[in-house]
Parts: sequence; C-alpha cells; structure tokens
Amino acid sequence: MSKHLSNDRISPAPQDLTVLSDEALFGASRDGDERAFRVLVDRHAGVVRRLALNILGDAHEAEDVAQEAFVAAWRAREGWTPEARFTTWLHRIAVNKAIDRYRSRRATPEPHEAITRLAEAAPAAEVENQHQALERRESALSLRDCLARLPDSQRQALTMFYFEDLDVARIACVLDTTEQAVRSLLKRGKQSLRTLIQRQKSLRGHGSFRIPTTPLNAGA
Amino acid sequence: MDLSEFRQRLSMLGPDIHAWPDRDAAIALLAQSDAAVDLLAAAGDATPEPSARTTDAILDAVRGKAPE
Repeated sequence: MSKHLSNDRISPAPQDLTVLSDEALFGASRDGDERAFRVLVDRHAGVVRRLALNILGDAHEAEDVAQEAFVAAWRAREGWTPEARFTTWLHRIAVNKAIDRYRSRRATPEPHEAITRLAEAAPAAEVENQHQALERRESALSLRDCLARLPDSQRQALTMFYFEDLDVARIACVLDTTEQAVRSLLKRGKQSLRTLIQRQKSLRGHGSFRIPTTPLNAGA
Repeated sequence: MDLSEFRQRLSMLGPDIHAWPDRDAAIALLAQSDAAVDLLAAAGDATPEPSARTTDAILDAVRGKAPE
C-alpha cells in the first residue's frame, strides 16, 4: 500500500505531486490534472503489469492489459468514489481484463488444429503432385511451429484473421480490445513470424512459404 | 478453491498462476475475491518501476493515440 501522504489539503508545488496519496492524485486526475495521472501510472504500472503477467504468462499481453486497465480507469474516473481504495479498484480492473483474455484464449481454437488441417488438406487427387503436396505439408507444419513460438496475443490475432477469416472488428470484440490494437497485433505478429520463418529457412537451407496477405481460407 | 487454499498455493508455487496445475480454480477465485487479488498483488518480488516509455505508451493510450 502506498506510503505517501494522504492529506488532500496539501497544495503541492508541481514537482511535489509524488508525495500525494493515490486517492488524492486520482481526485486531481478526475479534475483534469494529467500530471497527477502520470504519477499514478508511474507508481502502479509495474504491479498492474505483473498481475497480468502472473495470470497470462505472456509479457506482451501483460503490457496490453496494463494499458487497457489504465485507459479503463481513466474513462471510469467519474464513477470512482474516494471511499474505495484506489489500488483495490485498479487491480480489480486489471485482473478482470487479464481473466477475460485468459478465458477468450481458452475459447479460441488452438491454431495447431487449423494449421494441421491445412497441412493435411493436400489430397493427391487434386492438381498438386505428390512432391507439391509434400512441400505444402512441410511448409504448413513449419508455419505451425513458428506460430507456436509467438506471444499468445499475436498468435490469436493471426489465427483468427488468417485461418478463421474473422475481420479486425470481430477479433477486437473477441479479444476485448480496440481495432487499432488488433491491427498492431497483426503487424507485430507478421513481423515476428517473418523473422522466425527466415531463421528456420536459413537453418534448413530451403523452404518456400510466405506470410499470406489475405485469409488463407478466403474463397475456399 | 477458497482463499486459504489460494494463500497456500501462493506460498508453495509462487505468484505465476498461469503455471499452477489448478489455475482454472485460482482464476475463478480471483474473478470473485478482492482479497485474493490483494494477496496476489502483494506476493510478487519487488516490481521494477515502469520505464518512461511504458508510462508514455499508457498515457498515449489514455489520450486515444494509436499505438506504434
């Protein structure tokens, strides 16, 4: 718990905001003082991020949860009452967001299933010859290995977008985040995937898959 | 799982709930109990201060700026 003073009557100089209690700072934030909110972020972002990390085990997702928790706190500042301890309220917001992600992760089909289906969906009767089918299967299995190494949030976004044909708005809804955050996840995920694939190709000395630019099952 | 079991797991296994064998029960408790959340918040090692970049990213998000 904060060891800072809790006397709301203090009228600090700008550089003295850090001596105020959480509740006094949030009260000032509610009145529009962004500097006060910055002090709160500095003071509590570490614990908020760690709580999310304890639940999710993924540093990238924990960063996202920390951001979302402070955004939610800021948006809900009008409804906060000084009787409630600020940290209890903030930690509850963060834990709820982390739990939502944990549960949506469980509700999302494992990407391994979708990719294994892709790998095995190379029937000999189609135009592909056996060599092409083998290459396709090998590429899909390599893609599966690379995807498995991505942070959960990136893997989920990529899987939903490319394998389940969900659009950005729907993914944002499933992951309980913003469309902008989903676009960022897709971008970061593709970059990470590209790096992993290049590394794997250089280790194997061959390989022909590339990151798709449209959902893999589009038009299927 | 109740609060005393949660406290016991916390002391035995540490705060990384995602790695607990009965994490689903622990998460169900966390969803309901502020006391469990308080225990978890207090259980971690010394938490490093966020970097200025982290703070700026959070404040940008609060202001509604697009992430990088």
